[in-house]
Amino acid sequence: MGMKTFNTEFEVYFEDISPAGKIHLEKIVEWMSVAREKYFKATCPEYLKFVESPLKMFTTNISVIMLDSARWADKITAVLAAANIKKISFEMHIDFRNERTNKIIAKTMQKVAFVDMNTKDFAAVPKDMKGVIVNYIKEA
Amino acid sequence: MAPADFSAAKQKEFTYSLVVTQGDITPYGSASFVNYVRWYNIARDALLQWRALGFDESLKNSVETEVSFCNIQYKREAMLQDEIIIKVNSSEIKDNEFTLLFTLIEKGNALLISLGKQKIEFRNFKSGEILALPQPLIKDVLKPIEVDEKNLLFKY
Repeated sequence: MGMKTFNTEFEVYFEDISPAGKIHLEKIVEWMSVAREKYFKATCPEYLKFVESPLKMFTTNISVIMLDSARWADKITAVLAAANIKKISFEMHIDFRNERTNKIIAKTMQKVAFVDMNTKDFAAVPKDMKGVIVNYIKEA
Repeated sequence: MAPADFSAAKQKEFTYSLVVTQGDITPYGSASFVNYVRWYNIARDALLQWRALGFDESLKNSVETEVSFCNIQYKREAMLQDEIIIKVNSSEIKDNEFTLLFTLIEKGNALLISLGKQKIEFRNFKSGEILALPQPLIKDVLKPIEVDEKNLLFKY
């Protein structure tokens, strides 16, 4: 059985690409943020309660490897999977696939951790969130 | 023991300052991670101004800066109206690629906010060719701020 991923669709606009057809780094990172939020909104029924709680999710690290180009009006799919799930942190690996060329244009990673804003201490990944992300673990 | 001619003043870097603005922040009051990429790109492009790079005149309208790899570590929040300084150093200068290391600190107290790294090359976007680094770029821009990553306090 194939790996379960969460996919988000994007479209390339003129302002997103350079003359060489590279998607701007800022845009890739912005899409990472959008893909992450859509993922949690779609998969965690308690997402609004989480936003209002003292628990805060923050990014500790991101990396981006740029691989290929795109052009105006291309459709890009962000393919998200979870990895390295620990007590207080986990990673989201998001590959961006150009649907016209079927090539991966960027491979990205975002590591997030949790802090309780009342105590300022690290906190465990919320149970309902952990219950979801384990279903999207990236294959080794 | 440090060599006799050692001086902290010889530790060169390019610096760029900016202020965290209203448009940078999230409902938490801190800058979202997306902004760090933008800030590092601004500092990079302020360093790599075309007039100083030494590309052939015929290439000047067809050279593009390309980041093949980027890594950012977030150490502390940057809050609205924080004045921040981005220090930029170079490393791993090769024939057609080099690395920039970014250290983002708060101006008032020098607290470390973020570390960043970009591997950079130049592409002729008309031909698709990756270009060799011009000697003036290496000599005048990159070498004066070069560091050996292995000897640094931080791991970028």
